[in-house]
Amino acid sequence: MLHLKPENLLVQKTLTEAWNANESGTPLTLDRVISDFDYTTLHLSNSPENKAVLWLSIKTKAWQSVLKCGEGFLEHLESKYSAFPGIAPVGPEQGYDYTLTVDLGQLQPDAIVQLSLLKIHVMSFAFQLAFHEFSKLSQQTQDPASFSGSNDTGIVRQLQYRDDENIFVKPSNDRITVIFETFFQDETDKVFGKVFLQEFVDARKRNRSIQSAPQVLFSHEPPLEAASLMSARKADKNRRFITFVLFPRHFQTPELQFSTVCHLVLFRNYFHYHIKCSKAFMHSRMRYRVDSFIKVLNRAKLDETDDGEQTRRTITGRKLVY
Amino acid sequence: MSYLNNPAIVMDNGTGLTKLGFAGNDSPSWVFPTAIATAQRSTTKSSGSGASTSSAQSASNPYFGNSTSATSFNSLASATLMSNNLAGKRGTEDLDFYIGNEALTAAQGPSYSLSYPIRHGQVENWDHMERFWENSIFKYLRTEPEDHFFLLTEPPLNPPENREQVAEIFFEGFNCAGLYIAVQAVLALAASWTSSKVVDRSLTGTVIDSGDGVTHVIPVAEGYVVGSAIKNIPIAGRDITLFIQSLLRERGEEDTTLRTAERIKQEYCYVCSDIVKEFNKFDRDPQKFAQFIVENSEKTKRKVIDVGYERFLAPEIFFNPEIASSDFLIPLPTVVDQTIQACPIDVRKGLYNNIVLSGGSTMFKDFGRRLQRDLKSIVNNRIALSESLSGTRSTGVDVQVISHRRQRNAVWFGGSLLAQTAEFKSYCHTKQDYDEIGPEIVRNFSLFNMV
Amino acid sequence: MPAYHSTFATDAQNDRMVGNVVLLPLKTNFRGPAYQANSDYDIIDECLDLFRANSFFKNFEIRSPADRILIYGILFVNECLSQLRATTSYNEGLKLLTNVALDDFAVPGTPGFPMNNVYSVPVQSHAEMDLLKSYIQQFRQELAMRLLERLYVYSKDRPSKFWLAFTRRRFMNKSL
Repeated sequence: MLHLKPENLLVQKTLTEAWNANESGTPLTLDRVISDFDYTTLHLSNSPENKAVLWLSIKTKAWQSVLKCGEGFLEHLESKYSAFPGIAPVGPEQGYDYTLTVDLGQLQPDAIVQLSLLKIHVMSFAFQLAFHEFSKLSQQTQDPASFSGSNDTGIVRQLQYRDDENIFVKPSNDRITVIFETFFQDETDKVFGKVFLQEFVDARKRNRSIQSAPQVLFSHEPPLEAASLMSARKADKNRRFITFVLFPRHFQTPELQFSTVCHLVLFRNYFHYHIKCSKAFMHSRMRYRVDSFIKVLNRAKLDETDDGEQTRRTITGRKLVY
Repeated sequence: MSYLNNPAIVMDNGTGLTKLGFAGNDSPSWVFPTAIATAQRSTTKSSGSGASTSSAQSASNPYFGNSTSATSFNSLASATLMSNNLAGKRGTEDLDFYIGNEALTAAQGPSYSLSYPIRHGQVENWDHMERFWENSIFKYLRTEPEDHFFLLTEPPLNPPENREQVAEIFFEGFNCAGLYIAVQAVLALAASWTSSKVVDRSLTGTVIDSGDGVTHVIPVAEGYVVGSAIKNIPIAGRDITLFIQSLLRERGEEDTTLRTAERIKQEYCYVCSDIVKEFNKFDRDPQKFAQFIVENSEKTKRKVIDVGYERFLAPEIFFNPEIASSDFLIPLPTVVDQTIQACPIDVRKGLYNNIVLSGGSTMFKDFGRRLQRDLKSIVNNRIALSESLSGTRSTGVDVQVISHRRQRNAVWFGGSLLAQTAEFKSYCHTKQDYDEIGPEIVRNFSLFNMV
Repeated sequence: MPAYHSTFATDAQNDRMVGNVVLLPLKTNFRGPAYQANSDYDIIDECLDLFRANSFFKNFEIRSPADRILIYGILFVNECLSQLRATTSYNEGLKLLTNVALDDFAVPGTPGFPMNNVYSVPVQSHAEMDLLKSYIQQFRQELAMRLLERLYVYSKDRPSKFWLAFTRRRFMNKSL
């Protein structure tokens, strides 16, 4: 498969099973811990009072930094689900950051899809703020009265979604810059990563049909936009910074915004996934080569002689038997 | 590192079904067939012209603009994926595959060919297995392997080279944080500790693992498998299904597909104590004949199938194999007895006392009771014979068969129990160890007892 | 191999033997040399009970002389079933099977009988052979009658398809 799907298949499957069981009259007893990318744990369980009501809790590493980005986070999440009946937020469970109650009796199928996108919604908040700021800034520049001539840029927001790895989102007046900082643990990963990213950068130039894609840059050094937040950290050889420059056409409508956010949020996972796939592909080529090499070697083996000694033959070809 | 708080991942790859999930859960999150459907190029043109067209196309378009669709590939009409045209591959054809149930549906179309990478419990095709794992980790489990510890299972008598190969794929290919490879029989024993009949948690017992392809009887003494005494019985779920199918055909039922036979097996079959008495019970009480309704997906056609004697005859082939085939004639209780007798004499009592069932084909109602009864009679006969020959009384041998609610996925469940303990991570081999020492560390895994 | 064997013990004084075939008592109204059985359960009931179970077995070892009658009974039931079709009604079945029972048949031990290796009868003695033949004829008639009762217990128009499923199963791969 080429792309990672944004929705969590397991949440979807579990909710569908629970819904089916509820429809047929016997609600399931559920207590499932599900893990997702980037240190996310989801917990689906029955609520203590009523078996037909489920609790879906999420805990992500990115929660803290998303909260710091700005206010309105919880309302943002609520607004995503307020359209669906039967889903309401509730005080977070112990050990988790956020909990929703789901009433199986009123659940609809597209609500299930939205629930499985919970992690994306959590992380999309920072991007949402950036979109708002961008629209404010772009309006500012269009208004000649307040145009100050300098490139006014907005605040840089940081999403710390893994240990040591961050996403920086920075809106300005005509673009939004998203910087990924990623960390490779393995030497071979670095090489593969470099080739992969080079392809990202070059493809845009080479292929005219995808000119509308965001511009990609990558480097060892932290880009200037984010340098202010990263002064404490030294750039060591294992770090890479990948910058995406998004143009307004990428987030004009809510659908486009959503798909952009999905792709960006999953970018790091997608990137590492493809590195591992490439390694798997190399392995298969290596195995194939080894197999063909062994076949050649086998042909070069000398024929075995019986019992280690030569069988002696007479002139006419008959074997001597002792 | 915060991955220490992440749940471990338990993957049980069997010949028929793969069970995946996170430690701490009581049942696997995903259960699907161990099948992979890879993209198969149509082999209508000869490979010579195929090679030339592929190279021509690849020269003109070095970057296949496949960023949107995984299946919109130009049809390079050459041989299959693992062919001489590996060097000619420029695109992402190796990512064009499906696993599990999607593989089975995809294989019904023209462009995918199905393959089963695991045969008789052992991995036969490492390329396919690697891709299978890749897809199951990223798509179904949605985890980054660098963040998690993995618990995998291996069949008994697995050569250490296979373990090294697995470790190589996981550590070098996926960069997993840590790995532990457990023997399936030991995990099944661990799973049996949840049964109410077990008073002490011991890793000594006989595991009867019956899946879809083959049944194994594996004696385990103190956590180590007694390899020389392992016995295989070629009767398993598939044979039972085929037997039911043949009985349905003999009766002339309307629907005699394998799928119907499988569902009849799962819903209606049970183990009886004696087939003649059971035949008479059916004569006296016609309620025992059941009816099975087959509806196709649009619910337009309905076929009603009568279910009769196969309800108890089908699982009977474990205990009387010759009613189904004349290849294998030894009934299951006799094989279990022979296995235990082949073990060292000091562990035999423990082995009789703790016979654990695992696998889907042991889920028939009263399977455990019938096995216990038959085995007890074999053992008592032998004891009576030895007492009459020697003149001394023996202290008796206690035969106990343990069945519990988690039997169907007992191996996975045992893995989940083990992997959720705090000490699990210290028993795994970590990536650092692998980088320092090399693959040889995987040849040994320390056994740990959950206290 | 654990096929099901006959439970009838051979009583040396009361039962007659022809060679190694014991002529067990039957509970029947047909005329013939068999003695009347004292108990409710006779060899014919046993044949019918064990027929379905034993049809699955390919190996059978003789443990007592009663087993020989059991084998013959099972083979005969198989032959009767092959005469019936799914649409044969009770009356037609009655006529068919009575004809079959009274038809000419090969006596065990004589050439023409498929399982001669376990039967040893004194072919020379005509009196004993006649006795055996008439016993077996009576046996066949009674067995056919009781078989019909079991087959048509649910409906008089069609035989139970669960019994008919055994038509193709050959006990020890032999048939009369």
